Amino acid sequence: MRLAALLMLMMAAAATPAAAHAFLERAVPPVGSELATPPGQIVLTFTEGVEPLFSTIEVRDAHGSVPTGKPRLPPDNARQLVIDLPSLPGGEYTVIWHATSVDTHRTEGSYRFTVH
Amino acid sequence: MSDIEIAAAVLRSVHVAALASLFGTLLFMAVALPVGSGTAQVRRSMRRLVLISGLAGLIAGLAWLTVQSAAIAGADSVAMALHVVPTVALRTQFGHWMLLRLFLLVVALFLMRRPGVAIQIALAGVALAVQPLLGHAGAIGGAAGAQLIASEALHLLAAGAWLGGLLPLFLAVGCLSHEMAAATCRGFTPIGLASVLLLAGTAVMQIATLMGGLPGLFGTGYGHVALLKLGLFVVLLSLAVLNRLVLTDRLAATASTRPHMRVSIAAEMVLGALVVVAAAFLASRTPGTHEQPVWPFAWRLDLGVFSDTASWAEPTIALGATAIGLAIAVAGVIWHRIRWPALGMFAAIEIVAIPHLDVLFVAAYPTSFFTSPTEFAATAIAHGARLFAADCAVCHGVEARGDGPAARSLPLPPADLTANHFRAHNDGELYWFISHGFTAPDGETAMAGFSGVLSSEAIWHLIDYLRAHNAGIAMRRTGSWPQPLPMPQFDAQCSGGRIIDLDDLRGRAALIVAVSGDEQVEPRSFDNIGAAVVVVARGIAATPTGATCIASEPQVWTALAIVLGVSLDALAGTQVLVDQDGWMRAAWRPGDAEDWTDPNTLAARLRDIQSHPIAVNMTGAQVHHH
Repeated sequence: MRLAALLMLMMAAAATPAAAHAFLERAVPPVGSELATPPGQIVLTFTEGVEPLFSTIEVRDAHGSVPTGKPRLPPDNARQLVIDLPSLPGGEYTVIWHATSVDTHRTEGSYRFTVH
Repeated sequence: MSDIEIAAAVLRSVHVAALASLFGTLLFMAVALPVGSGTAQVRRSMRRLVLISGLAGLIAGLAWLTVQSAAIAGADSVAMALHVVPTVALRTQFGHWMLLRLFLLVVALFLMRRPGVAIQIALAGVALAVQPLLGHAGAIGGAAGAQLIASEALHLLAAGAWLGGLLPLFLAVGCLSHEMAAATCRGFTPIGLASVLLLAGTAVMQIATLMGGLPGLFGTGYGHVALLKLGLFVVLLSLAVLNRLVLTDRLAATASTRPHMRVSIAAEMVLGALVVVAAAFLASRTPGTHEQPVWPFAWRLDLGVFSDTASWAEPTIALGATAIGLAIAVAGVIWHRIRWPALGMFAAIEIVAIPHLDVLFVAAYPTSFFTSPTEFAATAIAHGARLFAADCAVCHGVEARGDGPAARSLPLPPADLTANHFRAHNDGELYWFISHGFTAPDGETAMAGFSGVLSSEAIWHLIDYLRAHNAGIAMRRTGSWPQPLPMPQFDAQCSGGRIIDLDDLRGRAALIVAVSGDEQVEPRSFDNIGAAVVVVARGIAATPTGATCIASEPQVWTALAIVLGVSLDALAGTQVLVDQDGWMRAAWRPGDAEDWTDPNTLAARLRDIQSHPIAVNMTGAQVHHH
């Protein structure tokens, strides 16, 4: 048994994990950041290509949803979603995203940032 | 899985099975079926099978597209599902590839009446091979994605050639004379053999990439479905071997074997269908690389012994002996005359050798292959430091040397977390120790587990702190880090409001300079040699100028002080060189012998680092494995 496991481990030793399903790779403004000036956009970069028609980004403050534009792909990056923001007053904001990756799987998540 | 996801997976498997049947039947007619007057009737039924498979593929494909569209759009009614189909079909990657495939199917069906099957095989083959572009592989992108798409396309074609050929084989064995039926089985052998080799080879590659290796295979839900699929494949293969090596020869000799052969092929078809269903459910799950694998065994392989000059000989000799023993056993099986002495020798060698392989295995825990999600972030290290002071220092001591005020009252002395030995444990093991604690040999609790006290995220932050602190203590003692340590991750602001993190600097060496409020920020640039400059600032409102970026979050200062083993106040003026792969390579503090305030000295050091990358595997977020 152990010998078999050993041989199999040697076979799979060079494993390189690959992504699938769109998970958040990085965000601007960054997760948990505290900003001196309000951001003009939210740019979310995912681990794989996303479908903008079936993805949403919602920004909430203490009173509810902040009106924003629809998410779009920048022309040079199929893994990014961008929304334009109105001028945000100081306060804490929650970004709630739903992404549909190009392999049709749906993922979601949220994070916060603060504007001083 | 929700109902709609299950429906999509079932339709996906019916669709793929029909495509496999179409491709396999066409290939079978071209390659395996003998040419001759006796085969006219079976050719007719196979052409019917081609038509039925193509139509079934078309209908199931349209149904899959509809249900998948509903799932993507979150539709809750049939009307809404139908409403979104055109959008999905025309404006998503999935839709585009689906439309191409359905178009190829229609063309292949229109060509039914034409003689010459090659173009039909090609169309059906392309339609089948598009499958990876509809799933995970098509979404990964880059070289890894392209590799996986190629591997999965071959996997699909091989599966189609073999499993799709079973139904025509069943028909042929049923209506041809028993001699011709046996000849057909022999004709199918090259298809089957090539397919099995391709399937196994490409499966190994997929286990490595999508599964997260063996921990993913044994420790995740995705892996378990794959194991089930692997098990079905082994049974399928055994039946195929039985058919070819035993039943085919009998069938050639006597017609009475015909029913046995047909039952065996039918069983193969059922298993093949189950494999396709398992594959479709696998494709609808989150791949194993995205789950933390729960390792089910009490040990794991550790090849560290081979890099230890004192102990590598024992397992090496034992492995050699094991291999020789196996070779003797194989020789015994081949040559009947030496069978029993050979098998006896094999047993004797293995009984002696195998216990010596024990050193290759170390104790493992369910979390042994967990990986940290924190990317060794400065914020995680700084948070971990606060948690350590609050929850751990009472036993382990403020400096983590195992000498806290409560240490003496414990049944086992707390671990010295600054010791070299600490670095021998991987992240997953440390996670287990912190979350589950330790029990003394007499059963008394030596350290309580923190799984109920700290969140999983907090435990990862503690681990990052402990690694940073351990390295910092070594730096304080010896002036260098005992093993490669990644630069803690942080965000920095560059000119023009651009925010970068260290990943953006990959491919360039970087100079990190700690500057506090009492000092001047000296503008420097190493752009001419392709290196970046990042200032870690404390208590100053500096704005980035030129190519220099600035990190002013206090956690970055704290994390840098920890990995350097100095107090917060002593960090000012420190410079750290980070190589193009994100490893910290050297540090300088005011007063050190070499003069890093001289730009020429620094430029020389940066160039040296750029031309000597270190050979450490650094894929993904996990950078501190051993």
